[in-house]
Amino acid sequence: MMRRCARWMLLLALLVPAACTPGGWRDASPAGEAPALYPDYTDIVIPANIAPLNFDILNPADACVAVLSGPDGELVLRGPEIRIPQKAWRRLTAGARGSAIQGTVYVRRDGQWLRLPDYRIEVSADEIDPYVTYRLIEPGYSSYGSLVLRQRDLTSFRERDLYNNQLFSGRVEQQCINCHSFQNYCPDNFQFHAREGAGGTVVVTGDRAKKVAFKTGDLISNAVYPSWHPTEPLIAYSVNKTAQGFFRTHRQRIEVYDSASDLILYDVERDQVSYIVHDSLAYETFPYWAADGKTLYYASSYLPDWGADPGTNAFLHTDRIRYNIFCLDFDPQTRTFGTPRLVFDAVADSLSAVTPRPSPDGRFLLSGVGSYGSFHVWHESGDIYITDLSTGQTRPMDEINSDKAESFKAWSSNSRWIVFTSRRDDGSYTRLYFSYVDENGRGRKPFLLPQKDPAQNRRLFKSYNVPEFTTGAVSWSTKQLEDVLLSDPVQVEQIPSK
Amino acid sequence: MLKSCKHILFSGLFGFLFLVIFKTGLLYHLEQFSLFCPEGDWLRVFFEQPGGVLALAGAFLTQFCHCPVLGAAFFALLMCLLTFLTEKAFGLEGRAVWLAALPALFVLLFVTRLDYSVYLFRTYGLLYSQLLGFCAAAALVLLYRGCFAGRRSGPLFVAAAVLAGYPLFGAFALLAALLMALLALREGKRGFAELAVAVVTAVAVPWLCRDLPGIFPRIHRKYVYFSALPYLEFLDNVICLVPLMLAAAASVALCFLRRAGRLAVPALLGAALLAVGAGSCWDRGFHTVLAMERAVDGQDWDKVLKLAARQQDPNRIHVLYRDVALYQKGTLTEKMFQYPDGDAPLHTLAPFPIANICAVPVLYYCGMINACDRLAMEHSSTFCKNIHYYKYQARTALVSGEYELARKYLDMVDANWFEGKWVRRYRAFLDNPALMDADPEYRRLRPLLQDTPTAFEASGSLQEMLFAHFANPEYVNESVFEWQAATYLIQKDPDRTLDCLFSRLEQVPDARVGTALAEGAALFGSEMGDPELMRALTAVLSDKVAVLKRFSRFGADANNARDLDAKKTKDWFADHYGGTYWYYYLYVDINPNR
Repeated sequence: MMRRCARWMLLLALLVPAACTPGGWRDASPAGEAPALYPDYTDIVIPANIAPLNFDILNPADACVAVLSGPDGELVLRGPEIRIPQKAWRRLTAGARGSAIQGTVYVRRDGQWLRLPDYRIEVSADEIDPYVTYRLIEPGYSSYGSLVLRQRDLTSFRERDLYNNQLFSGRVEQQCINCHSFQNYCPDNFQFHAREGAGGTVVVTGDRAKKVAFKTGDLISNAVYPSWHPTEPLIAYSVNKTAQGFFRTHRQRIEVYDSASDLILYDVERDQVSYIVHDSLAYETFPYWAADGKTLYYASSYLPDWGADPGTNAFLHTDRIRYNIFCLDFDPQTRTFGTPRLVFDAVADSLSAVTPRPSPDGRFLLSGVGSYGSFHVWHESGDIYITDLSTGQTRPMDEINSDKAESFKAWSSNSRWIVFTSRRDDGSYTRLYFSYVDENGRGRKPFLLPQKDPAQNRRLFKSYNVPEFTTGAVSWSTKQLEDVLLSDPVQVEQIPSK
Repeated sequence: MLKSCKHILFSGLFGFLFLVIFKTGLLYHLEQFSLFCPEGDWLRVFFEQPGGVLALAGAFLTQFCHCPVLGAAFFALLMCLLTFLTEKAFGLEGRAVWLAALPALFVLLFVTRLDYSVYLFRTYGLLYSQLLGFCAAAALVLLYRGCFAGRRSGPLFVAAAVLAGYPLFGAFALLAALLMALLALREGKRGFAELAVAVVTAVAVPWLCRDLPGIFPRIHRKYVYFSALPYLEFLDNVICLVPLMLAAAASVALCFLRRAGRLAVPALLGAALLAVGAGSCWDRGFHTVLAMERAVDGQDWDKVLKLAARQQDPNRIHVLYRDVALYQKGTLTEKMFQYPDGDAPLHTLAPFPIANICAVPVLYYCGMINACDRLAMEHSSTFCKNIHYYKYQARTALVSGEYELARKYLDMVDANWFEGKWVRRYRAFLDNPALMDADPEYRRLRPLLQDTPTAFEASGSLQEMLFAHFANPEYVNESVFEWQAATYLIQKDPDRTLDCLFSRLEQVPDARVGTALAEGAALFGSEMGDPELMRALTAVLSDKVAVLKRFSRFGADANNARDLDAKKTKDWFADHYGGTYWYYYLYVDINPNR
């Protein structure tokens, strides 16, 4: 009864906009021209709980209509700017959960309606985590006038600043914020770094927060790339000596590279750090815990022989630095690590693999792979590779990669969705793309983060980076976090490794 | 009617004429270094901080400065409005109405005294926002005086004005509350109630906005009481804020002044006019930079050279723009020392690297497109995003074949009124990139890109970047050669000047040697004293007989001079060899770190 009632209501909701659409489109004659949509939402797989996929029809037309049909009804929308009412979309996707929505675009030219070929939007029953947190930053180099850590509700268009440096930055003072990380998709425990003005690492555990200063002992830097242990009050970090160089006319523009790096383990409760890996002959970076907390993945590169002047030679020969993916066993009881095991030998293929991301179900591992180096967001060769951890087989995910840089990525907590950053739109500004990954590790055509007005993606002069899923919204306000940053830091103590 | 508006017309007309006669370059610059995009996301940010509405309105109006007369007209209209509101708000009568022009004149002074600091703005619409802020404050006071003064609802209105006004007008709402309280005190009816309410709300409302979660997520918590004022620009350089303080002080003083004595009006008005005249920025170097910048924007190279010729005491910005223009005209190594040269310091209270001013255009026209794009990105993320930088980013994207990226930048520039013509020119290349082959801009630019693309660019000051970029004297092509030779001459580097000259001759035996380069080669050859080198140079400079003859005379004169450092000697050499490389070599020193 309820279902029937809902159908009638949906029909009623659809009739109103339909009444406003130009008539005659139902009698359209078929045309072979493919529908050109921005963003391209044709033939994709989406989670049922995603926000409406608003799009613009780019096919030339005097008038156009888009029809989205699901098992429980259809939505008729007048183009070229297709803005889907949220409630109607919710009903449409709920009805199509586990099946598909059919999309059809009608265009009128010279008084004649044409029906462009249908496309499908599969609606997966596997939902996506409702929140994604990312940093918005100009694809710049050393200035950070306006940086934002922002959290977006993927089920709607709501987003809010988690922290923005406008609260603090002045004429002279600037503040870089980066490397946010959550413990096991939970919004209660998270951390991020601030550099320069009021610098330190904000570590939030529930309703408590502190600013932590990491530079201590013989650590080569403050804590950099983080990964929370999924269950223990531990965060694995890399410490890196990072530098950058600027290409003269190369389209890649910039090279970011390390001239030293190690891995450390931070005890959140005791404020102690110890080395995990500290090999002077290798660069170890980008640690990431497996979901069971018993394995730590990371990237490592053996140093080329730089000779007498390693700093300069590293700068001149960054294309000789290539990373493999390794892992270490970890015993949470004793907090001891095993010996390194090679997981993905990228160097054997003259590639460089970094930023390992194991899926929460433990089946797969994503890596960012480029022809060299570690900062693939600036490498056009940057792609995402997937390793089947049961067989050890690794392959490029050609089904989601583009000829531009793909870099940061994250799994949803149910291991069925990934979010990654890509520069495919314009080569410079990264955008968030989502892709369904099936149980065999095969991805589906990625789709762009839905926006209320899709043109926002073109107008926004900032890059999205470090997307991280969470299962809920962070409850801390920007101002509360600024208060933490303005407080005195807790200085960590370095202890010997176990 | 006209008689009763004389003071209003006076303030507007004075502002208009002052801006049109002396500050058109500034107005155009402010438009180019501003941005207006009528799109939700861009607009939203303005509402996330108190007083953002003023900045937004200011950014909108700044567009009109593309045509400076129009920009000045809007400014003048707002001055008229402020004068009118001030008169009515404070109930000025008789001669005292002329004093209503004081706040507007002081805001005019705030604008006209702007110098190189305009390159460091972090706030949009400053040209108009302060004037709008004072108008808002005066309007609130007028409303209070007309409807609430002396009534029980007076204190309530004061509280409401701060509560609703602070989010919209920032500190100007606080000023309005103060003025209302002072007016109430003047009237003597419940004045202390108003004053108490004004103080409490003026303290409490910004404080609440500062700390309440969920509202104003971008409020700068350190400066809540300065919202809508240019604190990020001038708080460490408070003298620039003095005109605004004077405007506020004038408003406060007018609260207590209904009538004025016969002498008071001309004295006060005269002092204000004098302050505008004397306090404005009259730095000729700054205005030449603005004029050159505009000419470079329009690729009017003759204008740039004309301005360079007029600037007798140039700073490196003038010289760099001049060199760019000479390169565009194909006469860099011919005429570069025929213009005044130098390294005069920037006359500004807070000196900063010249890269913040001219690096983006200079690097672009020198073919350092990645460096140009990088600095445009850096500056626009540190300071206001603006049309100027987006234009260069669009052009660098075009020349590197990144058409989608170029489209993105062009779309943003196109969102601004008055930029349509510029955008159409470059959008044509998007539709048909082959058109770039025939375009003079790209024909001069592209040969400069024939460099090792994966080589790293040096960082440092703008001069250091240029020196490092052209550090290798090996011949590449005629365009690169021009910059190489010019760079070595500027650095007074004999080895690389001659290396680059001979390296070129090996590749292009019949190449003509420019006069400036010939002068440099003759000087360096003679300094080295190698007879074989001299013979080779004589052959190379066979068509520069006049240069060689003149160099002989110069050598003799230099040898005969008793004290080359003496001012008299310097003047004599300026008279006789002022347009030559030799004079530059002897008397011009530059600071490459500037």
